[in-house]
Amino acid sequence: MTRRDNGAVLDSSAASTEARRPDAAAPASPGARPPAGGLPPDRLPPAGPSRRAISLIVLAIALLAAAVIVSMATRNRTTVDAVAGDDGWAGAVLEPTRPRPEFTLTDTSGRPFDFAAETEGELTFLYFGYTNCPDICPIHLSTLNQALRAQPDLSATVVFVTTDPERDTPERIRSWLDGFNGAFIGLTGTPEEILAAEAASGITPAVPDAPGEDGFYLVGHATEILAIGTDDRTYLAYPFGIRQSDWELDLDRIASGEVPPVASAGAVDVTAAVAGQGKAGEAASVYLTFDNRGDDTTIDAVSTDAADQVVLHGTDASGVMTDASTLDLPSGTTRLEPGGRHIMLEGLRQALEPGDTVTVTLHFADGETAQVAMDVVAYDDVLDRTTPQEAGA
Amino acid sequence: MTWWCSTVEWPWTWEWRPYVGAWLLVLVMTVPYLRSMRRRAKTVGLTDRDKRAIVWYLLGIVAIWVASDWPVAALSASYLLTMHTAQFILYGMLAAPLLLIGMPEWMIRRFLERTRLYRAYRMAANVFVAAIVYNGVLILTHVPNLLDGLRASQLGSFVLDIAWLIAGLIVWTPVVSTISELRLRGAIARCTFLFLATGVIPMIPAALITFSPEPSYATYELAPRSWDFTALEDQQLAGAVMKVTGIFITFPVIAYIFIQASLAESRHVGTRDEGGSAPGPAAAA
Repeated sequence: MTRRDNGAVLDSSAASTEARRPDAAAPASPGARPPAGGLPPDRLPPAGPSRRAISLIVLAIALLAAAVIVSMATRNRTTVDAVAGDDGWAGAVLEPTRPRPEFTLTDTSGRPFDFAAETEGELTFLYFGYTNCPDICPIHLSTLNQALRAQPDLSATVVFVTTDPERDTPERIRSWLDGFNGAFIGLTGTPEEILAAEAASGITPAVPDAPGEDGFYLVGHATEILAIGTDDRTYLAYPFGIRQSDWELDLDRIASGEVPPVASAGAVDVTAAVAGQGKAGEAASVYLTFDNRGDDTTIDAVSTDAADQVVLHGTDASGVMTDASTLDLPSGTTRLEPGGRHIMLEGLRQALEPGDTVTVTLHFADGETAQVAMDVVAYDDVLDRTTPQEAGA
Repeated sequence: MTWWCSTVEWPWTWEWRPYVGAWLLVLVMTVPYLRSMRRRAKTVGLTDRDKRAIVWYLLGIVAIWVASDWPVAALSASYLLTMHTAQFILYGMLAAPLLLIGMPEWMIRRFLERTRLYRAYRMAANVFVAAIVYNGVLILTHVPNLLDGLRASQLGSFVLDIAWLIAGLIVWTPVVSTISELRLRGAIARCTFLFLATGVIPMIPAALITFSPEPSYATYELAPRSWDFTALEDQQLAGAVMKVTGIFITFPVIAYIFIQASLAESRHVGTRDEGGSAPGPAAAA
């Protein structure tokens, strides 16, 4: 049955089994004109492309679909690329690393909370924000929470410090945090105490805007979530824009015991660093662990403001300590450990006590330098800190 | 003033925002259509079918306007993947068939003649090409990086929306076009095509979105949240909406085609019986 009507759109008068003919004649409708080029429809070329063209189109679309599926199945790294360096960490690696911040604020139950003591040895995420934040704070914390939920075996503490103590009462903070995760810790304090906490954490101080007519105001604040490892070093800072997939990549690495390097120079990462305690005028040892991803190299010199002289020490076959002019770093992992090679800071300008931080600069043969900040620990604890350990678990 | 809606970073409010491009699009698609109908009315007059076509066309324009303007476009571009999916449905599954139904054959033939697009349109209306184009656009525009990139700019967002509309026009042509040689003959063929092209293949990206363990699109994951559900829940809902579209749009259309086919067949048989030469009891009497 041919269709001579003027387009009854869903009309199925052609409900017979008549097949569609590509070169079927056009209907002679009132006002209808011949199609392009003035050709009547029955003189137009066949409607569709050739089989070869269709095959090519199908192939192209199949490839496209495959690419899309792969793209969607793999994690989107758009944001990571904007933040991450060559090391592949989604967060910004802090070099040098910073010690776990020390400050005391008040938790949501009104109890004093000594941050360093209460979270010591725990993988900790520290964030400064405020509950009236319309966008960054809730999204940032929600994203972190979702990522942590995807890592149920990873033990981590999340601490939120308000930058708006006037409006953020302990009750409000608790209620707001419970919206994400009831285990999140909320802290508040006086503006001075919070300012001190921000300074201790190396965070830019928050600044409230002027209130509007309705009394509402925003607070300009740093957006980084700081990641502090089980060794009480602050390794990473996660700015706003980090996505759940980005977090999960880093949390996978942390869960497997990996930590970002404390310092890097070219292909050499310093993956662990610690200094022994020492009295003023005397000496203290520095122990580092290197991961050399490139060719063999050497450290020609080490400098520091903390001591009059820095000496590279080796150990001979009989175990006697000897001076070394350079420190060879073959490709792979090299550890400076008690009883083996180490760096000696001689003529300390002031005493190095456990809890202090000391910084040394490594000068490599190829001209690269790396500044390494490290904790000072009691000598009894040095061995613990130079032995590889699970960082996140 | 914003001409087309794209991703913004501020929190959602119900404060109305104008999108000039959406109004212009509506005007560009409506004014020439109505002028053409008016000329037609003055010359040869409008048939009842033409008058019904105007209603269908204007409903299609309303669908485009709703999809392109505040609040749907604003929510779609910045906040909710679910609304993004709804916008896709508005363009590709609702506006497109309504526009096709609303354009009488004489009008669309004249348009294709003047723009010399007949051959290209005829090629695109091939069932294989139409299915590939529609689903290619659907899949391509849901590649995370591409979608995030397009949504970030007004031009990109405009291209995305227009691509959906054009893909919708192409995929619906074999089913509802008023140009008979571009329309599939036979209810079964049309229903099968519609089911496969718009009901089955889109389930693949919909499933990927629904069952992804994490949010796929930065645009919606990092959007200021004004609702109590997470970005992942929004994404799962969006995937479900994409999947059930077939139930709410495709399947009713398929049912309608079958009912129409059945009625037409009954009329056809009835006409043959009444006018046929086979002697019945009455004739014998």
